Amino acid sequence: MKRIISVLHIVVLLFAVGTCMSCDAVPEDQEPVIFDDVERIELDGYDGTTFTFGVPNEVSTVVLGLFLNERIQTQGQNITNEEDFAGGTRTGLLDYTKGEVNKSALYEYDPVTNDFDSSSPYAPVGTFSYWWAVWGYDSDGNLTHASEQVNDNITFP
Amino acid sequence: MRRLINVYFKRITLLVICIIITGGYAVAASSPTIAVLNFTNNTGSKGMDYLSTALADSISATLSQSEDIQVVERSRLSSVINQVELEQSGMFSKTDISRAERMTNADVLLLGSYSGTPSSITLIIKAVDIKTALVLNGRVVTAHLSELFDSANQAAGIIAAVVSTKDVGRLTVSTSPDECDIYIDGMMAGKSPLIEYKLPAGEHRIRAVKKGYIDDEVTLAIRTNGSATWNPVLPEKQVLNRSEFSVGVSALIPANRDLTPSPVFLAAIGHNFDRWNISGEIGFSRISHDQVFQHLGSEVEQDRWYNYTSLNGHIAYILYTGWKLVTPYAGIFAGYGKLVDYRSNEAYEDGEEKLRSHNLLSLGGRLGANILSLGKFSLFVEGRYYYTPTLVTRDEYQSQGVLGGLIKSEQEYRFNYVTMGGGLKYYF
Repeated sequence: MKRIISVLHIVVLLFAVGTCMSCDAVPEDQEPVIFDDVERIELDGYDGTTFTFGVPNEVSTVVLGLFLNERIQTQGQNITNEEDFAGGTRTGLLDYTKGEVNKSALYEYDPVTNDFDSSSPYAPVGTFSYWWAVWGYDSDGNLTHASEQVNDNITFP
Repeated sequence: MRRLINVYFKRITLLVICIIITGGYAVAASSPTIAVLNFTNNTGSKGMDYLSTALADSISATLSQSEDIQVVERSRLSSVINQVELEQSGMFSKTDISRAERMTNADVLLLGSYSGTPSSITLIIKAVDIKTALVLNGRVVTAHLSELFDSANQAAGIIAAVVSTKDVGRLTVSTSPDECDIYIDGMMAGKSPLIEYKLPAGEHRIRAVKKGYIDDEVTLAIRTNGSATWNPVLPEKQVLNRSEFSVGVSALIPANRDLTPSPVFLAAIGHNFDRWNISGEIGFSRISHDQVFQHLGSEVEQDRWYNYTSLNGHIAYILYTGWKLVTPYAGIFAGYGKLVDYRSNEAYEDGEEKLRSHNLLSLGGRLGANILSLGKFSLFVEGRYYYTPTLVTRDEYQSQGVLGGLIKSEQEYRFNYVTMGGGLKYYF
């Protein structure tokens, strides 16, 4: 009987060692990016004035989007709560700088054009809770990169 | 006075008679007299002995229609034929010839021999100068028995023309390849090279023929005492039983205007069974179908393309073989094609996203021509029409602004197209 127990101890021990050796393969917990089938854009965060993030060179058009009070909801590669899309900016609009966007350089979202209205700066008065994220397109218009979404209270102006 | 008139009248009458007599003599002197002897039977068949006299009678009758020569009546020759055994030996000596001259009063003897079988009889005809025993001219005729008399009469006619006139020229024919059958005015004159061949002055139709090659023909003017040469190069016929390997490139022109005309590269191996050709072919093409749309304030041209690989079986028929430089053909084909749709997308590791794959049956027809055939190589040009019964689904993309990725919609069409191009064939 003692012999059987010893053998079982050895089996359990070997199993435990094997499990520990495979621990390296388990990824660190990370918030998922907002779209499917894209590569990750790393966010550095919002410091009270500037949104900072890292954009790979292959991304030709970058979008920074702010959603008022609600999380950004997506299905596949589509945003499904357009009604909460408050504002943001993108490559090609005035004062957009790659990787660093000042909160004074944001524009209102226009649901008619599904784009930001370059003639209407986003400038509410007060402090509001926003979920924001960054995503990017390649030169063929494909959505290829996206970040996770983070929540920050942002004060305007 | 009356006496004087009578004297003048007698003198004028005498002069007219002299002119008539001397004139007639002059005509007779300028027209050689030919005696056609029996031909020697070298066939080994007694059943063909009748040709010996039949050919001679036929030639004699034909030549007698000519105004340029005089022909000795054959019945007058029987004694010559009996006494001088020319026709039996095929040989002749000066003694024999001079004896023949005395008995026939002819200038030229036409004699010869024949051999072979009824399906292919070879007749040798010689014209011998009766004074010198020299062979003035000769012809070799090979023909089926049914055509032998026509060919013999024609050959004899040319010999008589050469003999009877001083307006003779020479023809030299050298061909590539060698040993072509050379026909002059429709009659076999020998195999090339034909050197210094005597012909009456005037225009002659010369034809070079060799099995496996395309005939060539020319009309040449032979001048008196002049020389003419003809050096034709006969191209190989495309109707031989032989295999071929071909490579080519064509412009693929799709019926769907969203697809851009693109090159298609083809390689085929096949075999010619006389005028029929059966071949198998593999083809590849990258067909661009870029899509342009507005996206976030700018125009985006999305790189899209099909990789199309095809395997086809062909049957073609050579329509005509008589032209030297061009051999046209027409055919049909059927086969399998794999059409894979890609687009460039940086989200994928190698920058390209595979969208859809279609397995297609294709049917079609083709019209082309082998051109500039030289030895084992020839160029070809070809046009084709491909019909695909199966519908192909193509995704079209539209921007949805900043609300996410591109929106996809489906479009169905038939992948029909035309190709026009050419390439190089190698025969083996």
